[in-house]
Amino acid sequence: MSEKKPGGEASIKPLAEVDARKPVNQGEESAETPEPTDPKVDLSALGAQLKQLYSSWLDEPVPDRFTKLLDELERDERGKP
Amino acid sequence: MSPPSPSLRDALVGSIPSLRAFAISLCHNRTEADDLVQETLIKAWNNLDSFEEGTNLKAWLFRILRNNFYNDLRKQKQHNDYARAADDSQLVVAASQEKAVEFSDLIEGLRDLPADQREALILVTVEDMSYEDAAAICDCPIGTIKSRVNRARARLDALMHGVEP
Repeated sequence: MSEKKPGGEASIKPLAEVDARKPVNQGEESAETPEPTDPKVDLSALGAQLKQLYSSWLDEPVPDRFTKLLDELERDERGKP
Repeated sequence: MSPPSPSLRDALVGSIPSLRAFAISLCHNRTEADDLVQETLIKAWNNLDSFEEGTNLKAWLFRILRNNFYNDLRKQKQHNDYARAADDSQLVVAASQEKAVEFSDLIEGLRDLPADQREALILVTVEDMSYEDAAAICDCPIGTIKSRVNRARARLDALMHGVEP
């Protein structure tokens, strides 16, 4: 597994297409015709199965590399003048 | 840039399982998914200033992750058919062999969905995101998200029950 050097110049690409300032909630309704069925109301067996599959991924232990990464980023931050 | 508040760091840590699950649903490959999560965390960390505390952190992170995924894919493949490109990778999806068998039809069905329908389905049906947040993450109108979710559900439903859509 290739560990990328956190905080290194080369590993960080500019936030090219992510305009993080854009608010996530835009709140504007689309002009498109609403669909006749609301999938959130009609939560079928399929939805339940999808959730089970997804939970099996959610429940996996978080690899150490991520907490180590955040520790490292935090250390870098503190080391700055 | 000031260091993030402890609560924000905790929130970042807390979001890692969701980021991984979403990444796995996009990549179908754990190694790629974990690389994607790593890229996302670094990018998020370096841009925490632009995150408004109190707004939906998960949606903000998912948006970064998704953008990274498509940027990487574009670079790797220089190809327009993202769905196919993503599906070329191995199917290493379920947590265990047992789960892999139990969910094999569903996993296959998910893999066969167009990428835009799959992500809409995951965000709305599984992650319980609002249509607004899902639309912001996928950079498309709310109506488009709704119709993608419906098409994905119809397609998967048909597939799982052996009926032609």
